[in-house]
Parts: sequence; C-alpha cells; structure tokens
Amino acid sequence: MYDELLKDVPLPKHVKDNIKKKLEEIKADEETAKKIIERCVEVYYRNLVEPGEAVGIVAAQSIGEPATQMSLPYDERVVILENDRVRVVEIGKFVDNCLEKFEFKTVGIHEICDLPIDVYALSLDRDEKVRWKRIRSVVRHRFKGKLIRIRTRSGRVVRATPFHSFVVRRNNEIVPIEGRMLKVGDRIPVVRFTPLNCISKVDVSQFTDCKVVGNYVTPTNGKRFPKEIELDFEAGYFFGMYLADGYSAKYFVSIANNSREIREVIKRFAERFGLNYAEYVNRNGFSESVDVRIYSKVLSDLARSFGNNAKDKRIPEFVYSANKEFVRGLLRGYFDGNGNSVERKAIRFYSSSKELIDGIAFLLTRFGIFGVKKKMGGQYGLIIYGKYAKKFAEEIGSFVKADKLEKIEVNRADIIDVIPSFGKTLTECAKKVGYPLYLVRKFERKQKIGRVTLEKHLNAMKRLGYAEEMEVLERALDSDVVWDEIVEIDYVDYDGYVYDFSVPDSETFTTFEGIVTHNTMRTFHYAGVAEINVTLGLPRLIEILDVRKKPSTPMMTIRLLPEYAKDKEKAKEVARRIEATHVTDVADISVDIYGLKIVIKPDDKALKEKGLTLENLKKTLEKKLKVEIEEENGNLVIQVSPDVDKPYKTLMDIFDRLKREVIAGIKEIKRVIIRKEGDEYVLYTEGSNLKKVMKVKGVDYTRTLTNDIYEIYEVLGIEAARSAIIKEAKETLEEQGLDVDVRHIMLVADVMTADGYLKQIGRHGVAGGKQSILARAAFEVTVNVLLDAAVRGEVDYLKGITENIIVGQPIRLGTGDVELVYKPKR
Amino acid sequence: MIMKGGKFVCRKCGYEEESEKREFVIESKRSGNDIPVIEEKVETLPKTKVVCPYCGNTEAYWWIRQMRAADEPETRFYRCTKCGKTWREYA
Repeated sequence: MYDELLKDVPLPKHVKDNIKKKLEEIKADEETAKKIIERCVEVYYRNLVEPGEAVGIVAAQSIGEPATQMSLPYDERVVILENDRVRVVEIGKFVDNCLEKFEFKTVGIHEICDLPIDVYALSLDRDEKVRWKRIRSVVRHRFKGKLIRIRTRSGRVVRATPFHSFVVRRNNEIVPIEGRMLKVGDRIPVVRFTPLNCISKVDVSQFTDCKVVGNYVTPTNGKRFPKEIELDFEAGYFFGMYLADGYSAKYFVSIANNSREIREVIKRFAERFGLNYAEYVNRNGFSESVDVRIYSKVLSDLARSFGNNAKDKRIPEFVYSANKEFVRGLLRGYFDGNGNSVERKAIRFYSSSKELIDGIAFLLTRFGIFGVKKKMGGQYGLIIYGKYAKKFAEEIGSFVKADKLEKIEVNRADIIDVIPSFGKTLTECAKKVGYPLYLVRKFERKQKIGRVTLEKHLNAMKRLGYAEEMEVLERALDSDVVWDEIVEIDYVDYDGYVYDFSVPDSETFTTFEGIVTHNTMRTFHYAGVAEINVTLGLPRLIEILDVRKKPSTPMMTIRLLPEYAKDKEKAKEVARRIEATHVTDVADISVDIYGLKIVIKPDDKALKEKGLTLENLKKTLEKKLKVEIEEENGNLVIQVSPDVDKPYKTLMDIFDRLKREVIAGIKEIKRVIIRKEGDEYVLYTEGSNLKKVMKVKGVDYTRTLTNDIYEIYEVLGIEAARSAIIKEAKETLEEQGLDVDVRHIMLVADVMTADGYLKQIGRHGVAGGKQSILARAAFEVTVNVLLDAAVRGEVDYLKGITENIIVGQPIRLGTGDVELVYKPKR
Repeated sequence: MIMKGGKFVCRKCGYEEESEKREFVIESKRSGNDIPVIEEKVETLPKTKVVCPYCGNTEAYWWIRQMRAADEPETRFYRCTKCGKTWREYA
C-alpha cells in the first residue's frame, strides 16, 4: 500500500525508503500515511536550496589534465575586481565576453583566453588567507552530463563538473582530494572574510537619465543633485533603510519607519542635499505606520538600483567596492529596518528577495561575519549565530535594537565553524607548555575543534609558555575561511558550456555564491611546454670529446644568492634581467605603410618589469638601429622620409631589425624557466653566457653552471674545464644507465687538458698530436697526413705500436722491447 | 607608388592618384609571456617495484627501448625514485 502511495511522490529514493520504513513501523492507515507523506514533501522542499542559488563561498580544487579540471556552469556568479571595482557576474557571460573580445586558442576541447586586461579574483592561499589575485586566463568547454552538487551545513551550494577534486584540511595543510573521495561529513572551506580596496564616492549620473550640468545632475523639474555623492556611514544607513522598508516612485523616495530617531537620520540625509521631505501617516495596514518621503527624481533613480519592491531588492554592484563605513551604515540601516530581528541569541534577516540575502551575506564577509542561509517557506533567511552575532554587535551595531544585541551570548556550541584535521599539534603543544592534557585530548580524538574553543585553549597555553605548534594553531585560528561540513552530495543534469578561471600560485578563485575553485591546468601545461630540450646520449658525448666551441643545446643552471633563492618574485626579477628582451616583449608595434612610419606602443608594466624606461628604450633603439626616434604621447615613432631611395624597403628593413634587436637582458639567453628545488628557486636557461650571467645581481656565481665546456675554459680556466668534462661525460653516461668508472673519464679529461688548453680527442687534438706519421696516417685522412709529412721531411722512428704493426715488426713492448746485439769474437 | 602629401605618386613617371585608403597597418602584438615557474615535480614516467642497486630503494621509474637488432629483446631502463640513478637490464 505504501509503495503505491509513494510511487509518484517527487522525492529521492532514499527519502522514500525511509518514509516507507517509518510508515510500516507505525502501521499508519491510508489517511495518516497520505498526510505524513504530504508533510514530508513540504518540509523537504522547504529546506532544499535551489540549484544555482547564490550562497556562501566553498573552495574546490582540480588537478591534472584539462579534462579533469573543475569547471562551473554558465549561471554560477563569480566575484571579480576590475578597475578597482568589485563586480558580480555570471561566469559564463564574463568568459564568453572575453573570448569574443580577445584572442583565444583552442587546446583539445578547451578554448583558452589569456587575459590581456587586469582582472582579479578572490583567491584562497595555502596559508588560509584570502587575497585578490590576477586572473591569468579564462577557459571554457562543452559539457553534457551530470554536475556534482554539494550542499554544506551553512546552506551553501556549489555545482561543478564531476571530475574534479576539492581542497580539504589535512594535518594543518590545505590539500586537494578527489571529488569522488569526498563524502557527507567532510569539511570544505567557505570564505568568511573578504579583503577589499575601497571607493569613497559614487557617480550618480550613471543611474539616471537626467542631464549633467557641471558638478550637478539636473532633472527637468525639481532640485538638482550632486553628480558624485560621498559614500559615508549616513548614506549607507539611508540605503540600508531603503532596502528594508523603502520604495521609489517617479519623483520621490519613501521609507517607512516607526521610530522617530531613525526618521530623523533619514531627514538629515535629505537636508544634506537640500531636498524637500515630508512625513505621512499610513493607516492602511494593521497598525499605523509613518513614511518619510524625500522629493528628488535623481535620488529616486539612484535608489531604484537597489530594487523597488520587496521581491526584487538587491545590492547594486558599486556597494561591493564601497568603503567600510558606507557598508557598515548600510548593514546597520538594513538591520534597523522592520522585519529583521534578534531572536534566540541569533540575528535573523528575512527577505523575499534571494538576491538581497546573498548580497547581505557577501557584505558581511567584509567584516569577517559569517552567516547561515536558510529558506523558510517563501522567505529567504540569513542567520548569524554566536560569536559572529557578537561581532555584528561590535562592528555594525544598531540605533534601535542595541539593547537586544547586547544580550547575545557567545557560548553557544558552534557546529559550523569548526577547524578539522589538526593532527597532533594541539596535544604536542599542550605537552610542551605543561597544559593539562585531559582538556585537549578529546579534540585530538575527534580531529575537530570549534574556533572559539581553540582560541580559549590556545590563549590559556600561551600564558604558560611558548611552543612552535602555536604558530600552526594560530594560523588555523586566523584563517579567512570557515571549514563547512558537507551535508548532501547529489547530481544534476547539465548540457552546455562550463567555465573556468586560471589564477596564478594558489589557482583558486571565488564565486559570488562563494565558491573558491582551484585549477592547476597551467601547471600541467608547463610540464610539457616549459621543458628545456637538451642534447643527450651519444651525440652529447661526441660533442664533449670533440670540444665543440658551442654545444648544440647550450644551457645554464643558475643558482641564486640566499636572499633571492627563497623568494619567487625575486627569482623572477633576476630571471627577467637575464632573459633576452625584444621590443615585441614590451611593446605593440604597428607599421603604417602609407604613412611610412613605425609606431612602438610600450606597455608600462612590461617595461617596468624589465627595468626599462621609455627614455632608455628610445636611446637603446636609436643607437642600435641608427635611426631617429620621436616620442609622441607615450609612444615611440620612427618616421621614414618618402624621399629616400627605396622608402618601403627601408621601412621594412627597420621593422625587421627592430623585431630582432635585443633591448635588455643577455642576448644569448633565449628563454628562462624557474624550477623549485627543495626550498630554493633555480633558474634554467636556454642559451648560455657564463661571463655575463656571473655578473648579474642576485646570481650566486659559485654555484652557477653551464654545459658549454669551452666557455668554462675561457672564463674559469683549464682546471675548471677538466672538472666540467668529467662531470658532463659522467652525467651523460649515467643518464643512459651506463656505469663507466670515473677514472676512465678522468684519464680522458686529463689527456684533453694536460697541455693547458682544450684539446679534442681526434685528428685536430690528441690523435693528431701523435709523434709517429704512420700512426696518424692510420687514423684519419691518410693521404693528407703522408703528404704533409713528406713535405716537412718528417722521420718515423717506429717506436709506437701502430707503426710497428704496419711495417710488420714486433711492437716494442714486453719481449719485443728487448734488443740483442750479437758481437762475434774474432 | 609611394605616398607623398596625401597622394600616391609613381616613383618612375610621377603619375599621381588620390588615395582613398589612407591607412595600411601591420600590427605586431606584444607577446606578453611571463617566465614560467614550476613549483612541483610532475611525474610522467610509470613506476614499478624493483630494487635499486645503488640505494636499495624498492621503487623505480621504467621505460624500454629497442637498442639493437630486432631479434634481440629491448633494453629495460630503470630510474630510482629516491636517488635518481639510472640502470639497465638486458635480455
């Protein structure tokens, strides 16, 4: 019977099974069963978060091949920073736009665009801090199938392609874990703090169609309004109030509030701009309410960017980048409005606009306040518990509900903000400072501890002494993320493009809903692309023994001085100074063929990175190209006179030379890559110039190598060259799995270097230096050797082995070495 | 024809023609490649269980190559995952 009843009920199978089991247990009759099922469906859907719902910030990571990387569906919104403004955009829209606007390349099924503009994403670093990082490239590809959907305890949801891994906390490290290994109960990071650059003014004219006259926006009738308004606390408070209980008509803004105190704040705001206002008593509802109307078309247009009725209220983009005071005002205003309250030791916000709740949640992260999202019937809720509520009271506060905020207590056990997987750090730390172990042992067993509890214990331990584990714990305590427990994992169908950002270093970025995704695709790329191709095996061995002046693949291993070796940016700085820089690396060049001129448009950032200025770029080019260069508003212009003989040829010649000319760095060093070895960054270069590299600042020349032996001989002398021969030959053989005793190689190296200069094994070196003519003739170019010897009248004394064999005599070794002279007696 | 005072002029005979298309530009965009930094080692070779004759480690990368005649077996190369030494295995 129950099966029949449950058949068409829109619930997942495991829920149905549960219901069935329960029904059988209580032996419900049909009527009761129906009621129960109905209620279950109701509750299930009420608690469900909709797909794509903008919630908190969840971090996920992917590793390895492009095909296995984490990508997001079109409508996931992401937070980006462009021109110092925070924008909230759908990832699909943003990426599609970039691909349309800028060049992109296709790798397999992926379309990749390296962004030429500076756009930043919120990125989670290994130290659990959230920072803005430049987006290197954007990627999209088609995807049809199931997306994984993960819901966390705080009501945040992330959807992504299923072949990816997430980041979790393991033994105090942020490490990737494969998506399929993730299970309900695991904890993934959700951002609780957002760092931000701030704007303090907003241009009003972009929100209205009214004319701008001077510094004012002037409507056709009504009062003029300043073009820019200061984003201060009061302005924030006004818009916060508006979000709570305001609406905007064509020529006025109306805000309802029953508190005289608050109405005064609103009036003060109006007076600031010399606007007229009036109070209305509204008796339509259940009780009397008072509206304040401010008459201004411009203000009403501006307010409309916050939405107009309860359902479409939202946070406009400029607020996300507004300064803290404004945001604080806005949050307090919104909180002071009707409908938001302090209940049961928690702060509760309700709205019928999901977008507004999402926006408020994001703004709260500016103050490190973390909220839990809940859907209640048709309302969207945001609940701030315990210590975050306390923080709200401190940071945001209230004019009218301050007394209630005071009563909030922190000691509520926090099941959401828990720090997982800290290994033995806590007990180790306790042991070292002599803190009672029984107080902390249970946390080690559970491998989780609430943030507040940890803080309490840590502070107590600090009073007792110091242990290095404290720093690890402190870092965990101070992290910008909350480790949010996964409560549900399921799959949803998807067909369309999926998108991704590539962010350097940590490779993580944040969505507005709050996902910090991780992507290491570019690292994968480097594995193939950024290898330096080196000649190995027999060809290399021949090269060494022949003492070639230039190896076919010259290469250097440059180690840095301690203060440069540990710091990636400093290592990069040295690398930039070493690498040969062409004009095309720092500037766009356009050649106007009819106008007979070349315009060089340098990129300031690129110039600076290479340590160049426009001035010295101009001078270098003038000297190298021997042409006159004009400077025209930041660009360099080379003008060819139409009167010269063959002007086009001259123009194109200059263009070709311009492209070839090395303007900075070392000419021979064509490419540099940096590799991390142990805890130091080491530079590998394609091309070699030992003499110049040794002089570069930051280079540790005592540990810098080249595979060009001749260069070593020239710069460091014959003994160094001998060592280099031994090292190179030995390494070449070992690489091939050949175990040749080093003494053989040492002998060869000694022979090659014994005369104080480099001598090859061959007819121009060791073999050609043999004293015997016949031995030389037997080796190579017989006729030439014999002819030259004849011309010079050389004599062969037949003392060696080869020549004696040639003439058919015993060699002068062993018994052959004995000469007997018989003198008969007369 | 070359551009002279807004007109095309023939260099041989001096014939002049008004030009409509005033611009013909070759653009060369900045390459903008930054220096790659490789932070972690990417393993590209397969691994197997074998004892390293140099350090006694029990794991090594391996690859095979046909070194000599086709009727001879290929040579197996191993590289220890720990000490990085390479050795061969014939037959």
